[in-house]
Amino acid sequence: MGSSKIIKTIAQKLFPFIVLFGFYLISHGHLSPGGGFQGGVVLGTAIILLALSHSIEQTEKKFRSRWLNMLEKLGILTLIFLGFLGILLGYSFLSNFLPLGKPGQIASGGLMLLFNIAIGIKVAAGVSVIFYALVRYRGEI
Amino acid sequence: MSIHIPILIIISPLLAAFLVLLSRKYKIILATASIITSIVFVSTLSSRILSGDKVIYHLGGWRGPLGISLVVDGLSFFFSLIVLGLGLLVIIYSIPERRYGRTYYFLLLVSLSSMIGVIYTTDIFNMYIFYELLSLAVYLLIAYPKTGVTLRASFNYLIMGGVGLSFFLLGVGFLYAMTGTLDMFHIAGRLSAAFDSSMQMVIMSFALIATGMGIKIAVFPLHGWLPDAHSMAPSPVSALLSGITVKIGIYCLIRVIYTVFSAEIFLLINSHNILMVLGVVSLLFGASMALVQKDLKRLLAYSTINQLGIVLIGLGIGTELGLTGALFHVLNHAIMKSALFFCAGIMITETGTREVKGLSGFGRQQPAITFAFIVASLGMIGIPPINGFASKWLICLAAVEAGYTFLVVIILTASAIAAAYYFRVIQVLFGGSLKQGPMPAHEGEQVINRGNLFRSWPIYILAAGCLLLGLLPTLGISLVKPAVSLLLFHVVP
Repeated sequence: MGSSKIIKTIAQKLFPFIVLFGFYLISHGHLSPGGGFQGGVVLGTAIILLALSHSIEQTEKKFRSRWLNMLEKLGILTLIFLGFLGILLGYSFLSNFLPLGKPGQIASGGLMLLFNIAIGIKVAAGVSVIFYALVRYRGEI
Repeated sequence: MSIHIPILIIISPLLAAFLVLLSRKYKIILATASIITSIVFVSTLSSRILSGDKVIYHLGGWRGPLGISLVVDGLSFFFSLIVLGLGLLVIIYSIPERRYGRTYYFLLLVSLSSMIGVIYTTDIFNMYIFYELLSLAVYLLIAYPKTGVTLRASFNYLIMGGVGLSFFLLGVGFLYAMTGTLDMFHIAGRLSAAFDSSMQMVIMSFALIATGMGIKIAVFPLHGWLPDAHSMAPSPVSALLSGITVKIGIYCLIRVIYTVFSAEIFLLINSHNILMVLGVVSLLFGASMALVQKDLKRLLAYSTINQLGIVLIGLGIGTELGLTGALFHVLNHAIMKSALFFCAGIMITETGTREVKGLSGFGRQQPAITFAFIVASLGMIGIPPINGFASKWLICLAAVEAGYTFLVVIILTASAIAAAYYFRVIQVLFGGSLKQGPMPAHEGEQVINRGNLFRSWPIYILAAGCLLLGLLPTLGISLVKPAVSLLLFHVVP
């Protein structure tokens, strides 16, 4: 594609920081503004940035849409499974069964952290799959 | 485990929906098994519900007014039975069609699970979320064949449905502003105080919610999307839309009117008259539009507007008899209309045309299917031994009792018009010989043989249901009874 060397280099250098910020938003969703969806979108945009600056074929080699599709479904299935765990452990659906830590610490939200991670994975994969589908419509989503 | 049943009924199709996307071979087995599981779960509750009890489940252990609860009472049990029973038949009917891939079953299961979500939840915002999820799945199901007409119908429905649900959301916002809670039972408790201080806002929120649901159940001036969407969709989806999805709108209307706004406010702002007028107008409009249709599925779609008018009249009368008739007619219409759309699907694939004229001679070729079609359409008209008669009779009785004799005249007029358009189709079915239309290329001999079994059995079951409920209407009425006594007296019989 026709991106200049500057754009390619800067996108490459920015990529890990965007991913880090995405993970930060996901993992601190229960403490500060952010959460699974927002962090997931940031992770997705990191992949979209790579696809825009480099060619989409090159990006798809690293992040295959097959795997992303699979990850998306795994995210939602994890969420439902965590909900079921509540039932299996004798509480009700989606209820918290983890010990609550000290407020303000990262492990203080009980199940919230795990929910946010599951949603983050789903949204990140979903956003990038939607982008792939829009760019190269193949008729089979 | 038994206390978790309400959430398991919702989760089982939802879980299967995502598993269907992951598996290649077992999509049909997974879909059918999950719906059957849900039906089994519902039937374990049946004895408790029919004796007038209700089952409440708090998600995550959080009680209202903060948390979200699920409630299975007479009303929600009745509607969830319709959804699950017909949903299973829709899935079975779609088995022989090879074109329907994983995405189709995924969308079908998501829509079924979110319908049960709408029915069971007590949180009015959660109801909106589930309704939006259901609508998104349904828009995609209509557009599934990806031809120009279906895409246009689906897009039309997308715009109208989006506007309708925005109205609903705005109404919910008003309610939240007044009462500070989203749990319907708690709103009902706090609303009478709000009604004294700010009557305008209560009426406004009622008007917004009723308009939103009016778009979803296609009452006359808001019906624009229905004929296209219901007739252009693939036949099993048409049955799903006409048989079940529209009923969810009616459920929301009933639930919001009787639980949130309680019957007293409902009568105070004269909204039952509005429902009755809308019912009469859409009854007459649907009947007269169906009369002039040349396309079979379009005729059935307009007939849906006609029959929903009768349901609205029953709701508008609002007496015990009227509500019984209306809810019973919901059940009857769901059964009859799905049977008719299933038959129409077979007729269209066999004759290769959607025109009523092109069906001539089909009755001689496939007598069993035609018999089922005739049974269901006689029920639609309201001829005695079929179930449609029983519910129309109840609504007419209620109208006379409440002093609205002119409603009986209108219902009978509409039934006469319905007789005119259904007899036209039946007459064509037994007309001259069948002109063999061009078979669609993808359907080989083997597919059709295998298909007939899976396609005809749902129709036979539904036709048998029509006859059974017509001969023994007490069966249907005993299902409706707990719902009606819950709505009118807030108590169990």
